[in-house]
Amino acid sequence: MYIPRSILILIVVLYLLFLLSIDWITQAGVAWYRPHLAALAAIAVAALTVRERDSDEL
Amino acid sequence: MNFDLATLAALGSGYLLLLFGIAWATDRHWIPERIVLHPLVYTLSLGVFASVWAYYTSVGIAMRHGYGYLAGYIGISLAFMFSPLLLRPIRQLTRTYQLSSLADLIAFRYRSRLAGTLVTLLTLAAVVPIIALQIRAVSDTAGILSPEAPGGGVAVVFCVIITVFSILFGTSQRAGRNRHNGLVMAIAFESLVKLVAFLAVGAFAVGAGFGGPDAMQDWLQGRPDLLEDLRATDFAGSFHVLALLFFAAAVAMPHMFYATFNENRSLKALAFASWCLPLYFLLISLPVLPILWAGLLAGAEVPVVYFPVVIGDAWDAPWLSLLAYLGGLSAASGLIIVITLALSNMCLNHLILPLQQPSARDDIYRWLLGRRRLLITLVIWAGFLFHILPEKEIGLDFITVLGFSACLQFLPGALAILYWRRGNARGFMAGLAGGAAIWFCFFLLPLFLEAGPLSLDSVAWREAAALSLIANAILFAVVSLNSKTSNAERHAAEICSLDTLKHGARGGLVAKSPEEFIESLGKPLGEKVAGREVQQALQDAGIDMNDRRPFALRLLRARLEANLSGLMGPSVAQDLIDRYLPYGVAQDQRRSDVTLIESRIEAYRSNLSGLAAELDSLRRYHRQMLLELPLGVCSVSVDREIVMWNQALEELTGIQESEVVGLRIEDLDQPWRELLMNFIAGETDHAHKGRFEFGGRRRTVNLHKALIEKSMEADSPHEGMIVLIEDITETEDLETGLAHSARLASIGQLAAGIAHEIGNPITGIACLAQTIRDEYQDEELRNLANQIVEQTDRTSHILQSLLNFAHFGERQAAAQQETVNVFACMEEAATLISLDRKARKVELVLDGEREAEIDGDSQRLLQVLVNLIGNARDASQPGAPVRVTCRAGDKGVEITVEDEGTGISPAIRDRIFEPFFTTKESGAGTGLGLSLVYGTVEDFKGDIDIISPVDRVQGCGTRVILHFPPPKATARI
Repeated sequence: MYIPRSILILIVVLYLLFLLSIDWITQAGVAWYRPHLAALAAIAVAALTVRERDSDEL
Repeated sequence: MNFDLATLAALGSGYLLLLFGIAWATDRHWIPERIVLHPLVYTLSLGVFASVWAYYTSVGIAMRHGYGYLAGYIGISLAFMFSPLLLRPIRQLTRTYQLSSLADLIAFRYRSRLAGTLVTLLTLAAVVPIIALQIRAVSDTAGILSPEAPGGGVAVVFCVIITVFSILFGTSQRAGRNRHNGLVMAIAFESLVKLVAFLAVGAFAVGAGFGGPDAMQDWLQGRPDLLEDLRATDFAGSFHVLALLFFAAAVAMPHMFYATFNENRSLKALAFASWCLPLYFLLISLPVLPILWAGLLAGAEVPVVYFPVVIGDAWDAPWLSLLAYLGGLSAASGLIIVITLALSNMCLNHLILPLQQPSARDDIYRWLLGRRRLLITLVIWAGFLFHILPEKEIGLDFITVLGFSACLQFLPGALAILYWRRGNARGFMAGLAGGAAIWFCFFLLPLFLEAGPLSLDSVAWREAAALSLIANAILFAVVSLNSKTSNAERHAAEICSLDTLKHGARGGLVAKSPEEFIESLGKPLGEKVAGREVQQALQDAGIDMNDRRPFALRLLRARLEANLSGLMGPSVAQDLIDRYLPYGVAQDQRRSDVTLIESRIEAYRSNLSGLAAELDSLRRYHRQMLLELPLGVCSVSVDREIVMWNQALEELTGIQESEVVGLRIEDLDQPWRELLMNFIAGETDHAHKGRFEFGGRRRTVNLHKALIEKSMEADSPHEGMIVLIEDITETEDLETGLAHSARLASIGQLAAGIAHEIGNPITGIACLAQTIRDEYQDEELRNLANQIVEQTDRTSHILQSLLNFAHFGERQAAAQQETVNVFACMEEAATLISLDRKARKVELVLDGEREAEIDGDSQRLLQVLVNLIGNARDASQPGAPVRVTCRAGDKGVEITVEDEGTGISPAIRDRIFEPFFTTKESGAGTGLGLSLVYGTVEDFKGDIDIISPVDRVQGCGTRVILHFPPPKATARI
């Protein structure tokens, strides 16, 4: 199987984003569900990626 | 809170019965298939992972570690979001080789029964506390809702019901082969119930508890300690470790392995789950903080983890407490059912079957089913014992981490399956032993040695888990690199590895047919079971019962091993297959099976991208070139198996590629077997004009062969041979015809010359004979002279015919084109024929349209008709009718000459128009008549058909049909 390079790049990018966004997510005075919103955005990206892969792979 | 215990019992039993009903209805196809097979149902069934830890424990973790409670959700979500890296390839392996658990996969990859057994034992050690955790949660929450309920009694009743349910549904079908649609549907429903219940509690906490989101936010601003706890999350340390524990659980936890891989129906469903399952976890994690804060606001006097069941009661909504209890019960029961099913298979394959196997006399399916049921019971009740035995208080979070960190030890081995071919069984077991030892010291020993209550705060769990994983990985790598890897293990590593397709290996099997497979397997399994398994494998692999091709038999063997692996585990299945279906000679692992590799690349094509896809396109282009070459191409492997059989060869031999690829040359039908075997065995690379009979016709072929150079290993002389078969039958027929024509032409020229030379003396003889006849009175002499004149006339006629034929081409140019009345010619021909007194008398019948006309030469048409009628007369019995008819139509004129004579035999039918070909006695015919007819008809732009016999029953009669175009004057009109 060929591992799509895009996935490897995505992992690194997401991890870096996670580290960078920790302070932003947990800063005082913001909505407690901000981490959930960030997670929702990541899930949306994952769903879009799957849809694209769907069209040519599955 | 004081609910009636009977109410709780009825609620629990009724709920489990409802699950039972859903599963039952699904198995009976009462629920539409589009629902049952929908990827959402599969995704919800994966929600079984969100067990008591998500429902209760996460509230406790949120209390102590703030956002740290999200680590678990993120870990498992990442495993699914990046499923192409780990889950998808493992799913392919488990599906192809019917591997039903991680222990199966490990035993298969590392070719070690002991490795499978060790994985099973450690999984057992990890899972029993987790089952105990579920039982405890159900028991404790029942105790909170109904304080008079005896904790032990609730646990016992719960265990009994859940045991019955697990046995009824989990073992109703043969594991490893069929999907348990009923079970999946029931588990999906459970996931839905717990999600709805948890969301309802969360929404109630925000709405009724705080009076709305804004009010909750205001309240939160007044509790800086809670906000500080949220921000104090240890993202750099425990968050990462916890996320890693849950990431590994996607593969390492038996219930997740079972739900993800065994119950998966398609890659599409897995792709759907890769984003939908994280969404599920996101939703179920959302109410955790509101529930925690509402519990704190209410001042609930229960452990924090059980806040979900007290929120309703705190604001006078006992129904919500019951709903929350039901959600918790749902989470616990779902996990127990799936985890015990998975674990019972593992224990059976790796603990029981290696020690004890059913004999051929037993019904193997019943034997396995009985033991699986027993194991389910034992696993559930082992969890019960773990729940009641420790006297000290153990935190739910500690038990969760205890179980997950044990399964973390499988992560290095699982990753190496896909990404590190050098890893071997010794390395894996060394790493596992090292990691498990650390886990035992830091997690299990404190259960017995620590005096006080145990929670995550009382042990260095983060360091212990990280240390065990690091030690495991280092030991695995070091031992693997410094120990020998067996050939079988290397081969298995190649099968599992992601970057190779060199899977197949050649070798002839001792068993030469599916019947012999049944016979051989009948010894350990019994004939009935062996027959059933072989039939199933034949069906799975799409092979016919009569197929004896070595390639097909190797596929069948691999399929059988995979199917038996699903039934009895890979170790036992491999032993059985190796022992009872062995290869005849030691198989060469380096010699790849090109056919198998090609079929896999074809199946895998959609996954290729970039350079690999380009190379594949190039491969297909070259292959297609060979396949469509207008020359027979047959590629033969070193062991004389046919690898390629192109389209030209299919047409030549009438044997399809699908029937012949994988077959040995020796198994081909005649005459191809002898032809190819002799040529391949011969020393010459080219054989010209090989002749043989095929399909009632003589065939001629040229053969060429070339060795295919070995591209990889230098120690083998070659990869096989390519044979080109050039069918030159048509060419040779043309050459023969051409030579014959040339010979005839020279004979014709010779004959014309002779005829010319003979003509003069014959004329002289005729003149002399006429002189004798006219000048002498002797009657006898005059008769003799008369006969001489007649014979010289006849000779002159023959010579004239010969000259006519020889000068045919010259005269053609001078031929006059006129409109000829066909019927008049027919009458004249009839008159001429009737003048021959010595010839046979027949009844000549003329019929047709008197006005029929064609363009041509009346004399030549007359010649044609005289020849045809003469032939008909000669073939007919005396007095028999000969019919000559003409019909005029839009398309022209059709003249038919039909007799009831002997007909023309098929053997000479193709030769009757050849010059000098005659069936008449010597001297009776020149063999030029029909040649002249053919030439004349062609000159007149007509064509000629011959039907013989006309009467198919009696096999007699000939009909000659001449077609001429309409005269140009008519055509113009």
